[in-house]
Amino acid sequence: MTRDLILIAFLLLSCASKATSDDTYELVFIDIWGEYIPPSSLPKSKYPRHFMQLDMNVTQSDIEKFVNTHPQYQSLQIDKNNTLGIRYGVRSTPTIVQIKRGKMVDKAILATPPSLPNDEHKAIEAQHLLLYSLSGRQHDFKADSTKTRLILFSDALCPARHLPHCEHKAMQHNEISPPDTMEKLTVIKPFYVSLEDVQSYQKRLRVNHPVLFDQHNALFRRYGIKSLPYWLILDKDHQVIYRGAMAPEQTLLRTYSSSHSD
Amino acid sequence: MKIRYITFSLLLGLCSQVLSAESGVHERSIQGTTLQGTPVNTQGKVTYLKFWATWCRYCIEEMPHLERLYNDRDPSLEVLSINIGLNQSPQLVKRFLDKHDYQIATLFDHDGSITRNFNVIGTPTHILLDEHGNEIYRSALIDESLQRALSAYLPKEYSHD
Repeated sequence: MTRDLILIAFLLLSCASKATSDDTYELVFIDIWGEYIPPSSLPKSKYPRHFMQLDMNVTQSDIEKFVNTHPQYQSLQIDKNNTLGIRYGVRSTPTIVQIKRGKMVDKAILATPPSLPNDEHKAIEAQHLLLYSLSGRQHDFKADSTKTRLILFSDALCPARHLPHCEHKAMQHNEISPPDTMEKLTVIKPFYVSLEDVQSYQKRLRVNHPVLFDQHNALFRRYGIKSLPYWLILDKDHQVIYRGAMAPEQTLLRTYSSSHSD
Repeated sequence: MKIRYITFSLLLGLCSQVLSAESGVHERSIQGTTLQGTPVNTQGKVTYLKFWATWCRYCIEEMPHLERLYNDRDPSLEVLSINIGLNQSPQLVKRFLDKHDYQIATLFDHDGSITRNFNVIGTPTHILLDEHGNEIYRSALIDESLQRALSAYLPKEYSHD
């Protein structure tokens, strides 16, 4: 299999080298998750350019969304397995690699030096435990609650590599019927998403219960949520009485709703 | 122009296929020198790898957990953090580790070869290898199965929270 693929690649390479033997082109390596750099801000060139996305934390669907928003990047492709990036020693973005007759003849590294993150591991502030649903209703996780809470912690980027079975689990959460003494919620992680993304999540996954955007990541940190999607049941004092990547049994919800962590 | 573009796209796809097919035969062990200056060789050891970058918020959030696990583990478990090196520099990573006084053994993947050998295309990525270098677990975040697998190398009273 590998030998066949090498042979086909070699044949195509031969054809391509004949077709482009006099041509020079440029590969512009970018990262769509980094700072947006309009193509017009790149140094001018007389050669055709192909935009390449590093194969890290990206799907074809991400590329399509990006190109829809920034049509100037129409030629953008994922550099599968970072094949070209590694071949040309691209370790930062943006980088422009000029290819002539199949060989790299120039490389321009336009990246600015990376900086340290500066807001990690901050303490949870009390006011950040006041969360609001998308309809504007306040949910207080400081003061005692009148109801127990069944919460699905999730991410508005669903579906995504780091969120196994997230659509199925969101639907499963939608279908749970809690007793009257229990409130059902979805809480969304703030990393890489905006309020619009959270609204889109609610619509896309047909969520009819309150969706809270945890803008300060306070609930996720308070309850040590490390994988997603993830369920918690909190008693009226906000103590955990159930936690897990599996939904709690519907038949046990009434028991949970009347139980206390003590 | 259009033909050239299509040829270019086909070539790109084929090259990826060829190289990913080859990457499966590499032996899954890592040798190198950490940013702390210590030589490492994972051959013959059960090894937990975490691939990360300082721009990855999930990765940074998990670092205290990784550090605690590194400090509390049974010595039979090798724990190695691998900075993937994209839009990073060894100096930056060293500054980050020093800022938080993290001791976790960290390799900087200068040329991307470790990341590629392990087919890592997302951060964070957690991989557990048995003593023969076989991958026995992989996840994007620290899920319960990974925690269960790691708990064999941690004190009984250890909590992942």
